[in-house]
Amino acid sequence: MSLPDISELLPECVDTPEAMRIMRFLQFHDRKLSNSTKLTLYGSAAVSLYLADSDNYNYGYTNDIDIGRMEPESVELSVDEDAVDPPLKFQPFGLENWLVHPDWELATVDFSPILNLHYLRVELLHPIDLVITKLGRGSSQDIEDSLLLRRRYISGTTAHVADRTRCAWNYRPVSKRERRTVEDAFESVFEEPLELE
Amino acid sequence: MTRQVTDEDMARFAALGYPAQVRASSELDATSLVESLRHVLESPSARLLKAAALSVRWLANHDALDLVQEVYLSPEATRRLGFVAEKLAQKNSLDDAARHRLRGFAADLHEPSMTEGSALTFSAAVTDTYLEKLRGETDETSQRWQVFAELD
Repeated sequence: MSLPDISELLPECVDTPEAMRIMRFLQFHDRKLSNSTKLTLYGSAAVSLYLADSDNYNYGYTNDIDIGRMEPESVELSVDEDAVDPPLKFQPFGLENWLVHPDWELATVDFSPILNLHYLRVELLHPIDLVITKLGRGSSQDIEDSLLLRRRYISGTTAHVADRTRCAWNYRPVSKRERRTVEDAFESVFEEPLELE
Repeated sequence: MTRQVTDEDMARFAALGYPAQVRASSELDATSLVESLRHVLESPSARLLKAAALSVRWLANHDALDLVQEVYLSPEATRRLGFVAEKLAQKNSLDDAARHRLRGFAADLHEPSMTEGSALTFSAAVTDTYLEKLRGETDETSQRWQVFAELD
C-alpha cells in the first residue's frame, strides 16, 4: 500500500523555536560526520519538524529525538555538550514497541533539504505512519499531534488510514488491552469508527 | 516569601517541556513565569498543560497568584486558569496554605455567566468527536468552567 506524496505540503522554512532547536542539534552532528549517515525520526521531534513553519503553534520542548533507524548503525552520535539550554539527546530505541505498519521504511519522507545538512540524511516517518504510532498511545498529547498532522497532511477520505492502522494492529498488536485505546483515538482524530480484530 | 525561580524549579519546568520563553530565559523570575503561563493559557496545547499546572502550583506555593491577576487574560484563558487552579486546589500533595489560596483564587475568577460560551479544551486542535469523549469523562470542576482536559 503506497502512501500519498506529501512533498508539496512540507514546510519551506524552519520558523518555530522548537524546530530550530532540533535543526541546530542535527546540524551540530552533521558537522562532526565525514560519511553519509541516514537517520529516520519519529515521535514529537518529527511532529515539530513537520510543523516547523506553524509559527502560531505553541509547542513545548522535547527532551530527546526518537530514532527509528540509523544507517550505518555503527555511527556514534556524541552529545552536544556546548548546547544551549535545554540539551537534546538522541533516543535510539527503534520502533519495536510501537504501533506501526510493517512497511513504514518504504514510505519515509526526506526532510534533509529543509535542514541544510551535508552528511546527515534525515527522514521522517510518513505523517500517516506517525499518526498511527500516536494512536497506539492515545494520550491527549498524541491526539493533539495527530489532529495537527491530519489537518495539514491527511486530506480526503481516511479509509486508507483505517486500512493501514488495521494492518499495523494485525502485524504487531501492542497489547490486547490497548485495542480500545487505538479505536477511541482513531475516532477522536478522524471522526469515524475503527474496528480492530 | 522569595519569588525567585530556582534551578530546581527550572529543571522541573524543563522536564515538562516548557516553551522557549521560559526555558531560554537567563533571568527567569515570577513575572516572566506569569507571562509564559499567560501565553500557554491563551494558546493552549495538550503538551503544555502539565507545565501550566506546575506554574500555577509554583505561584500558589510562593503566594504569588496576585501576579496573574495583574495581567490581561481573555475570557477563555481565564476559564482555563480557573479550571487549573480549582483542580490543583483538590490535590493533597499541596500544603493547606497553597490549596486555600488556590480555592480563593478560583472563586474570585469565576463568574456564572462566563461559561455561556462554547466548551473549551486545553488543546491546539480538537474535533467534535474528541470533545464529546472528553465531556464524557468530565467532573464537577470541568462542568463549572466548561473546560475539558485531562489533568490528574
